[in-house]
Amino acid sequence: MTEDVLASAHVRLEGVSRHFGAGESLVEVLHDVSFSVARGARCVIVGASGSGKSTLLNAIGGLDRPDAGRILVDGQDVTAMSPKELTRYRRRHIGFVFQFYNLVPDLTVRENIQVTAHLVRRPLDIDDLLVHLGLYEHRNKFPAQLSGGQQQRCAIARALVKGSDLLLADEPTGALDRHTSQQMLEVLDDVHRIYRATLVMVTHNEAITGLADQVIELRDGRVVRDELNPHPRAARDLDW
Amino acid sequence: MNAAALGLTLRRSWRGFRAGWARWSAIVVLLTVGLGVVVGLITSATATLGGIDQGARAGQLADGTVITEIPLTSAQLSAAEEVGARIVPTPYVDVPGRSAGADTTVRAFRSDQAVSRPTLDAGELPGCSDEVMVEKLHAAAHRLRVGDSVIVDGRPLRISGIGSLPDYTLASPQLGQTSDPARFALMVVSGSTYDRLAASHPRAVVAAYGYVLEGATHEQLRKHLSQIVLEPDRASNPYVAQALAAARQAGVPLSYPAMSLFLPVDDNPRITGAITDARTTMLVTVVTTVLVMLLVAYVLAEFSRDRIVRDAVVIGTQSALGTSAGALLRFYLVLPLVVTTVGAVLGAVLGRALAPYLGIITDYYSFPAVPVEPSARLVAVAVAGPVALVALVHVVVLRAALDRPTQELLRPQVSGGPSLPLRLDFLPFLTTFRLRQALRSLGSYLLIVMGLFLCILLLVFGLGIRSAMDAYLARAGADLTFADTYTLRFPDLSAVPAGAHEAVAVPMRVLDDDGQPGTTLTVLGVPEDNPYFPVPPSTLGAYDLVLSRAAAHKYRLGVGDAITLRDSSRLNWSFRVVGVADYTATAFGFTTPAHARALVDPGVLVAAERMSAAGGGASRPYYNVLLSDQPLDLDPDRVLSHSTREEMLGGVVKFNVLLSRIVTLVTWSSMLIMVVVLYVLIRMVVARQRYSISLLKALGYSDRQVGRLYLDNYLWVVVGSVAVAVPVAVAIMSQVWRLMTVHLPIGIQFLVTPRDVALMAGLALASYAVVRLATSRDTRSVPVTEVLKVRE
Ligand SMILES: Nc1ncnc2c1ncn2[C@@H]1O[C@H](COP(=O)(O)OP(=O)(O)OP(=O)(O)O)[C@@H](O)[C@H]1O
Ligand SMILES: [Mg+2]
Repeated sequence: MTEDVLASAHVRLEGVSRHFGAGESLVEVLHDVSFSVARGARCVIVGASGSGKSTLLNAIGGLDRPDAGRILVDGQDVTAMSPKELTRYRRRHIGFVFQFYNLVPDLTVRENIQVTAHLVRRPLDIDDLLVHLGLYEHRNKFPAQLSGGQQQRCAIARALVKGSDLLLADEPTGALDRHTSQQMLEVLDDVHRIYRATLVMVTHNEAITGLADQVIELRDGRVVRDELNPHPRAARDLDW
Repeated sequence: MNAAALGLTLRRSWRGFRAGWARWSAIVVLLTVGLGVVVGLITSATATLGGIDQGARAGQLADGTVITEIPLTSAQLSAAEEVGARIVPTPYVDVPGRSAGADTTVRAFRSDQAVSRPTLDAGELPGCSDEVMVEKLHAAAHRLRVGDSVIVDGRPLRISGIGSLPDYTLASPQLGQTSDPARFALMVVSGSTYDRLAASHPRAVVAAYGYVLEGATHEQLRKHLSQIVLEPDRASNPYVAQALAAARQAGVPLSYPAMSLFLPVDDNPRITGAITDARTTMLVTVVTTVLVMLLVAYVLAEFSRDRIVRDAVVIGTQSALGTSAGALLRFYLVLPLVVTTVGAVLGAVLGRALAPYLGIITDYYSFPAVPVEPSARLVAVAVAGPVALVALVHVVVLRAALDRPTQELLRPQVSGGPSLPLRLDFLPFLTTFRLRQALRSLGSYLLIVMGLFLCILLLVFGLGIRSAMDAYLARAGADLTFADTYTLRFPDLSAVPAGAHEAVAVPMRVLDDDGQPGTTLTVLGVPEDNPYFPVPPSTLGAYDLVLSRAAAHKYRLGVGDAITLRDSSRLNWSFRVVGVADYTATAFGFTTPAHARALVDPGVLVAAERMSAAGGGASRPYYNVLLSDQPLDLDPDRVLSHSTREEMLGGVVKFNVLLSRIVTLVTWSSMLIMVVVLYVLIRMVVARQRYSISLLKALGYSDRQVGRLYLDNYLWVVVGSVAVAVPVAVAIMSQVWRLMTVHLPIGIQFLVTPRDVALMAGLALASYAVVRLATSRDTRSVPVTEVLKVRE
């Protein structure tokens, strides 16, 4: 990793550890995790189920607090923020795509996006996003009336609408077929290109690493690979 | 169910309880307080009516009372028997006495009288000439017990028993006496002691009788007895002879019936007073019971339903995996049944403990003591009712849930609701969001509105009665500005005693719709200089009446209505109500003295005028009532009755004391119930949105914003419901109260003061604040990362 990348690091983790439980039932989920992601980079985190990917992403997103170590985003220490500051941080900087979609059940598709858009002063155009993600005709449906793929697209639209500079996506393609996955990745790619956002995406699909600028692999809560990809491919050119 | 499955069910239920312990405990509190109040009130009211009933039955209460000027002869008694009525002597004599060092007036009755006999709370009736039974209120006033002694007419008598008399109209004290049970003592002595007392105080003996109807009606007996005319030379009162002579001289027919009192038991204010008070408290009990049970049932049903509906996905999954409906039902029933049973049993225990303090009427009226214990049936119903309700709701809701295709159960239900009919994009997003949210949660809002409405009905009821009684007591106290009222049988028309004001009172009976004479309404002729009553205009017509507010209330009359009254010589007079005067203490029809005199028996008028003229003095216009702010020194033989302000207020005060314990209990418990109910209901509907709330926070909404989006709507629901519910509840409860008090001789108007309204609004808002605090605390305490693992 070059000094250049480090200097312009958007996200930087220093010795982050996280464990759950205590005594007999103590589980070390993250163990001394350190890496940096450059501004505007596409970083893909891979690892087996239970290796700690979601936990790591939640910590970066300010939803969870590590037991040790620091997470610096734009030079600001996320781990030192008060709950209020965390709320402001999530609002201003983070677009989140959750592993289980997590749409607000009592809001329609459009409202789910709207409710997030409302958090920032200049959100993207909601209808554009809906059209782009093929959700326009479903805009008035409730989450329970959508298929899994449609829900995920809605979740992505919700993450994108704020135009945040750090997009965190937890298995955005986990439950989708190949074709839809590819579409999804193209959308993310587009957004990344247009808005120059930094993208940190978790997946267990090794194929997706092909489009990344940087690949990080977790195993049992430890970083076992952290490499830069000099020739990232476009989403539509990926082999599955 | 095998042991392992049972263990699992219990563990899961225990976790369910721990997760929602505050709400489950609130349900227990609601049941305990609600059932406690209901069981307590019903137990107390039943015991009261039971006591009155027992007194009447055990004491062989006569059908009515007759008092005559001179003892009836045995020929007259057997003549009455031919008409169809048995007349039994129940004479009494008033003698001086001393109890626990205080001077008293003792009214002594014979222990061997055949009707309206005493009933005992302790000990036995006097068996020999130096024993006495003391009436319980007097005994309580001086802490007298069986074995103590009291002095009656100078001789000490040992108290052999303490009890009560079923008919104590007779206790109406005479001139200069007081009805204070500490100083006016009812006692029952042996026949020989009675004879001795009567022999040494012949003028103080009253020829009282109890009658038992055996075929005749009250009216037939009244008519028969009023034909027994007093022979002047046998009358004990010297004025009787004088009056008859004066009337004969003037050539006016006048006869005094030998009977001076004819009182059917249903007209006896001392008996009916207690019964109407007991009936009123019973009605308060019934209304409270209905409202509390509605509330408890409502909350229990909604709470049970909510739990199953929210667990629909789990139920669907389990059912998809092959769990039987019965097994599911058993699991979902464990926790609610345990909680309901615990709450209901605690409620029954609380009710049992409360009952003896709930203004048991025998503390104020002389009725036999009865055990104040909830009946086994009441306890069984109080416990089984809520348990059965909860089981039923579970069966119905769970069946309905399982009848839907499993496919549907596996997906969470769309939280639909009506969508906004028009585009509201011009409004700020937050506003439209909240409006849509409101429309989608209409069901939840309605749930809270209903619960709050029931609570407010209960509160309005309690607070309203309290305020009405307070206002009435203040008004009645202010209206009764005179201290002593004397009704004169033989007025001395030569002068009105110094400091006294005269009036003309004519007791008349109100004819009901069937033309039958009913209760007595006194027509009062008030002179212009009378300071105590509203003075009717001198231009008032002879057939016009101004009713006191109490009379207007009692007979439901207003200006322009007609009322027909019957006088003592059976003539009917039709009057028109031309006004309602602001006088609440007693039911009166006010008129001018001249018009009132026209209603008086002409023989009585002439006799009174002649007697004064014979005395040599100048004669004033006829009057028969003297009012004064201090006791007057009058010739006892001229006086028919004397009552004091304390006595006139006493009934109301007694009623107020009785009712106030109940009302206090109802008010306090309904305040507690309101807080608990709102807590349970709001928490319940907010919990339905907990997931959305946590999620919005994950997305970057602050606590305050989430609060505004989801919780503040409930504030408006609460505020709106209070604003609507209070006037509606007041309207409903004033009608209920009116129905409850029609039998009261006074007009107490239902009243809810601004302070009451402020209290209710404050309570509703306070409950909301508690819920708001608890909710934001528990959404804060749920780690967002955990919510994210939920596939909703
Ligand atoms: N609240 C918690 N309490 C205890 N252990 C937890 C908790 N949350 C996560 N874990 C544990 O942490 C480990 C990592 O979980 P995490 O969700 O980060 O895995 P993941 O890599 O995202 O897996 P997947 O690919 O299946 O989503 C798991 O072994 C899990 O059991
Ligand atoms: Mg994961």
